[in-house]
Amino acid sequence: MNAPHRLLALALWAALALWVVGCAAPAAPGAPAAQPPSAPEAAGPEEAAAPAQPPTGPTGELRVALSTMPNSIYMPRAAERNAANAASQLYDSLVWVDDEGNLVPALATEWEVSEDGTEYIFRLRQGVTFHNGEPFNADAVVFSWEMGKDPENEYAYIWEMADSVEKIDDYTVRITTPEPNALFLRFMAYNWMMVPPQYFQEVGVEGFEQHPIGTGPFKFVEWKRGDRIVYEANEDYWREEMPKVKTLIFRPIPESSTRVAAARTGEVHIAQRLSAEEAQTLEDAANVRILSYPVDRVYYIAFNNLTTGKGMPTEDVRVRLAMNYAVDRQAIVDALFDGKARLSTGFITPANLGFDESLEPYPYDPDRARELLAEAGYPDGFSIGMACPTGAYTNFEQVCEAVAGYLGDVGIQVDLEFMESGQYWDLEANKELPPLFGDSWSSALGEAYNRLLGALGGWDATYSSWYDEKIGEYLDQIIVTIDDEARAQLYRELQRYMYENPPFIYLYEPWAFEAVNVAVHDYRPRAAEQYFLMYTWIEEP
Amino acid sequence: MFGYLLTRMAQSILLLFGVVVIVFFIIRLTGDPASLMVPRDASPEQVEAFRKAMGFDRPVYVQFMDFATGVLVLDLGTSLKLNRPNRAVILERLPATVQLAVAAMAVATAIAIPLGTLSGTYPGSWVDGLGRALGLLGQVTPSFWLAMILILVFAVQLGWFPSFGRDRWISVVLPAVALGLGVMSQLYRLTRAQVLEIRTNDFVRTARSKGLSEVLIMARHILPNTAIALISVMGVQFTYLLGGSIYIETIFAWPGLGSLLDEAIKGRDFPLVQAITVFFASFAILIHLVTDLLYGLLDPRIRRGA
Repeated sequence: MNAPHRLLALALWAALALWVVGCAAPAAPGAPAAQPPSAPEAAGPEEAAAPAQPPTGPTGELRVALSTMPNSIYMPRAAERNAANAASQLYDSLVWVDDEGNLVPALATEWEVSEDGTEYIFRLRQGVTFHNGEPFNADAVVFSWEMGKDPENEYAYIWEMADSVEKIDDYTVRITTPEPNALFLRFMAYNWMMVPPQYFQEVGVEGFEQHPIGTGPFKFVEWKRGDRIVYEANEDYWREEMPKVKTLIFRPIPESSTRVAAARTGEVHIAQRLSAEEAQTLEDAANVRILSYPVDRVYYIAFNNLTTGKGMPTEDVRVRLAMNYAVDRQAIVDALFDGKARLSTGFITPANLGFDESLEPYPYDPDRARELLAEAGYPDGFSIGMACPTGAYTNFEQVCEAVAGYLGDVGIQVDLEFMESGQYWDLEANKELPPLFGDSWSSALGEAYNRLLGALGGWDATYSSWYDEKIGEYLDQIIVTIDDEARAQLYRELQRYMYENPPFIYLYEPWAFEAVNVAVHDYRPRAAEQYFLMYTWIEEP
Repeated sequence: MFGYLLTRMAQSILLLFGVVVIVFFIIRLTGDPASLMVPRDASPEQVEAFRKAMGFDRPVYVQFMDFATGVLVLDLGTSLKLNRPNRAVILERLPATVQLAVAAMAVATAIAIPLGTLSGTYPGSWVDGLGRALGLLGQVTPSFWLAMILILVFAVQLGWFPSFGRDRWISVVLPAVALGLGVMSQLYRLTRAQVLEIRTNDFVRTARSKGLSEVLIMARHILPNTAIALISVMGVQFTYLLGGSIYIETIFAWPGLGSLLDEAIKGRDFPLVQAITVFFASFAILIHLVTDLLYGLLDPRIRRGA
């Protein structure tokens, strides 16, 4: 290739790119300042301006983009958030968690818990039928449990939380757990989806996955693999006046810039998992509004006192505190996330039960860090290994580099190593990562217990490399404390303890950005990126 | 001819075995699927139970024999995440990928061959200049970048085409252009070079001196002689189109094998990754075999082992 041709090619592409950019983003760069976080519920000034009324019956077509292709829409096998969100519209559980986080009746109208907290009696809703006409009753509950705990199901462990499910009469079941489990009903609400026994037995689990049937607000119509999942409204739904859209279509679009384009053209109404920059490019789109909200996911650098970190300076609490003071997390968040992330004050987020608002994030105070290190006997710092996964989380590689840099500033020489995420999680599960390692943990229950146990359960937890007896005691107590207020109090005490004795360098909780068509109303995603579309409605054009 | 066929087939089978070995062992270097598939908050015992249920606790050589003997009888195993036979999953997604590859090849040849012929016939003319500029663009433009630009311009700004999916026949246009451009440039350059070379050969001069029209010379003498080179390159490029479709299918959310492979890798669905890779490899080997045999038909010198 000779030089003039290369120049010509460059010039042509530059002209085209300029034209495209010019068309796509009339809003000058830098113009929109950071917006305050808007709770999803509050995200509708347009709704006030145009007093559209929800329809009386189900109408319209709602198209939702998914960032991955669901592997299954049978709940015990729906492997990640997108699959579970697509699946859960088809089914109901015995109980439900409402938008405020309260446990409310669903397919059970009421329930009692025994004194010792291990036995539940549920009275079932009568007159509910599955989409194929089969009646919902106690047999269906027993059957769903038996199918759910099949060891080939990825989520079998959630069904194994009960050790027996018995029919007392057609509309009463008794469920027992081996030990009191304060989170049992919440796990049940999000995961124990009821399936029709007769149909399931006829078609088998493979057949059921091809054409699932539940009691939920939407009925399965078709699944073109890799292309779309189509549902239609269940006109006989037991919740009155729901659902509100006639047709619900999920479209997997793995590439986020394509989701942005499809939201802009109106091909999809809801596009999730966008980056802050991508959301910003949509600010000029009249048909789209941006929803942003803090996600229930904490990023952290973990310590290790079980294997590789044994005998390291990080076993000293003063060193761990020093490392928390040494990192300027605000600067990291400003530089890498445009300021759109919350600085963590611990492992319990504002979306969780028992969140303690009075805790402030550790300030950036390198002098204090040096003092603490000197007090602990390391005035000249020390060397330590650290690892982070690549390709797993947005900008996380840069975050880890920044953390290592800040630690270096106070004299802690960090030998940072990056690994492909699959291999990384393998090593993490085997507790073979270096004594410092970065990761993140979400929670879907509105409570931090699973995240706490998962990361701090010691040898009993797959991904934990830290054990602190005191934290262990709190966790043991939390899980058997059925009363919500008492449990919230325990969480608050635990937070305080974990603030003074940090088992992590706490980092941040990022925001989620979604593009939602202005015709869509009452779409209310939760902090765990879960959503229920039965009350969502769409203005007819 | 028969001897030639046999040798080529034996080579193909050996090659396929190599692929099976490499795919199986390389993928196992990337981590343990059981601990990655089970939710993070599951306990070590629960992970172990799942590993057992999925057969990952068996010795690696047993798992390999399972896979290798399966491939021999066209049983590609069962997907971990989809809980369905891989063969069925692949066949379900294959039509979309073939459609896209054929459309991309059609775009590429429809531009490359006429333009290449004109360029070669009138070197130095404005048509030649245009053709060479286009050929260069096609070569230096990354297809995933072009894909995004096409979406921005033709779906978002102009609204002529859908930005993703496989809804109507029109959906194939943007992905086919994005995928086909690189191949177009290869075929263009080849056609141009071939025409340039052949048109100065003695037999063309003879034809011309007999008073044949330029059109007839092109149709009867020059183009047929470019065919061998073109077919061999098109065969290779077709397999490239199938493989290259991973990016393009993912960007356009095209429900083919490429986007399936992307999901399978991200989800660490080992059996499915293995199955798709072996499938792609067999397809590539088959295409090479067929093109080799086609040369034999077109050029007697090859089949006689000259």
